[in-house]
Amino acid sequence: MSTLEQIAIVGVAESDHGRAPHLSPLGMMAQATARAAEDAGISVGEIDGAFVITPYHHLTSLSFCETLQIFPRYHDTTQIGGCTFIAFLRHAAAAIAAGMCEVAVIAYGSTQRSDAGKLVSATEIPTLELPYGASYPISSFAMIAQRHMHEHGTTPEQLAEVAVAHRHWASLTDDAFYREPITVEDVLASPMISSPIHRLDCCAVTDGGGAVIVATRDRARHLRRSVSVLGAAEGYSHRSVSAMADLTVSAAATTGPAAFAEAGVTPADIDVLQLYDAFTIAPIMMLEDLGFCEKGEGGPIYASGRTRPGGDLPINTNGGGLSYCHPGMLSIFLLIEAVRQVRGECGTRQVPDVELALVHGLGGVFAGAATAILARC
Amino acid sequence: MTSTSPSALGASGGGKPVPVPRGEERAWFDAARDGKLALTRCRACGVRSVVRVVCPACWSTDVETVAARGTGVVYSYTVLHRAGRPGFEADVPYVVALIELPEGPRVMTNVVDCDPADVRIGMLVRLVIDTRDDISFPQFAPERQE
Repeated sequence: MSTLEQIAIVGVAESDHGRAPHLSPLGMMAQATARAAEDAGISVGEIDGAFVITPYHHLTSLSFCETLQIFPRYHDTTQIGGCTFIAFLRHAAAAIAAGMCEVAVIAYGSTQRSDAGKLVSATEIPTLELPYGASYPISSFAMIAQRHMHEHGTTPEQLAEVAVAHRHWASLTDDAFYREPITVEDVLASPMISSPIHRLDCCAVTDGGGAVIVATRDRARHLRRSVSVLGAAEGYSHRSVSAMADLTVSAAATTGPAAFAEAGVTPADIDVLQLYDAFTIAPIMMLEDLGFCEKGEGGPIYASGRTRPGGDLPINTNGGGLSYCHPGMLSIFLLIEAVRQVRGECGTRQVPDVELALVHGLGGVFAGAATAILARC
Repeated sequence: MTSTSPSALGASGGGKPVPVPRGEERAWFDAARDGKLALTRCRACGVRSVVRVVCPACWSTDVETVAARGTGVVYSYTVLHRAGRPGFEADVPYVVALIELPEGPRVMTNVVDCDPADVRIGMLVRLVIDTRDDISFPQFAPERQE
């Protein structure tokens, strides 16, 4: 039996999010974990593996576990950027398959909205890049978008279509941060931040936390609703954008094929996608790199409306980082929404008959990458 | 989306950050003080890289510092209309770019001495040096056509 066949996702939950000044990052992680355990039908005390990271805590897992007074026998505080929580799925599966733990929690929390203007991260800028006044991470994504436009004909209008499409989904999502519909003209008329990125090409800045509980297959059989992980992969291509070999190709071009091969499915089999939309260029490039289309076709796909509610390629069904929630590291929310879509519990935004969901995250400036393909158990 | 801890920023250069180079990073800034762009050349395989102690192509430790030609091509760029860091408010709009060097590596820098609206991918640029406090660092400006 493969590593992934030995585990299942048994519970998911978000903490209060959007504006949540009544919670600290640890409070969000604890609240989300308690809710995810309730969702799974287990006790928090059964958790014996912790897979957690935040930008706030030097000893993240110890702080988190102390808050809940749990004493896991396995800890993992990998940090490969916002995609880390997707990578944690695979790490948790490996730990469980090796007998290192049986019930793993993957958790995150951030008060980025409530922190506004204060220092929230220990992110370092490379010494050689410090003099130039680049905006991190916006200017890196801007140069990626600029090069993609140059090589593949992507247009500012197509970038704007991403924000418009994800806002359509958010309008169906009660707890989305931004729900008012927007147009391509609205995006292009919003202030230019770092060309070609306008303000509305950028993700939201919110508070929020989430938790995903992964357990052995044997335990999952006794739990209410479980979701399988058919394939998963992680990788990276650089740390600083100056070392990104080709600005128009991300590590999704590696992790996507690896995850599809492990799952034994193809892009045509996927019913719903959750893609890390830190900026509008990101899901366009991911569609291309993951194999859903050729280079240069990601923008036209968005412009065609296929990714919107009712379309045949639904992407970011709660509004994603652009509209739903983006507390610094998004992928815990991508995972949770993918699980909810597979479980068929998304109400008015539910995609009909979801059997397979793909979730893909980036880390840093399109640097880290992690992909997972989820299915009904 | 994220901020940097003050300790990583070094001294204040009129409100702009001034790098505090460590170890091999000093070669980059020392060369800039001499009006040059430093690269690391691997004596084993010849590959040039940006200030390393181990060649990232063949992992040899037999490397030396050499001067780059000082020319390059704009690989990509962005015009900042909002200051990317404190201290750059008066500079907007300004250009941050990736310059592809004829020796191979790409470097992040500013493109200066021109209208930001005139910067294009593929534009030929040449090395210029700026100094902030006591630290010199490379920038690039459009190559003047004769």
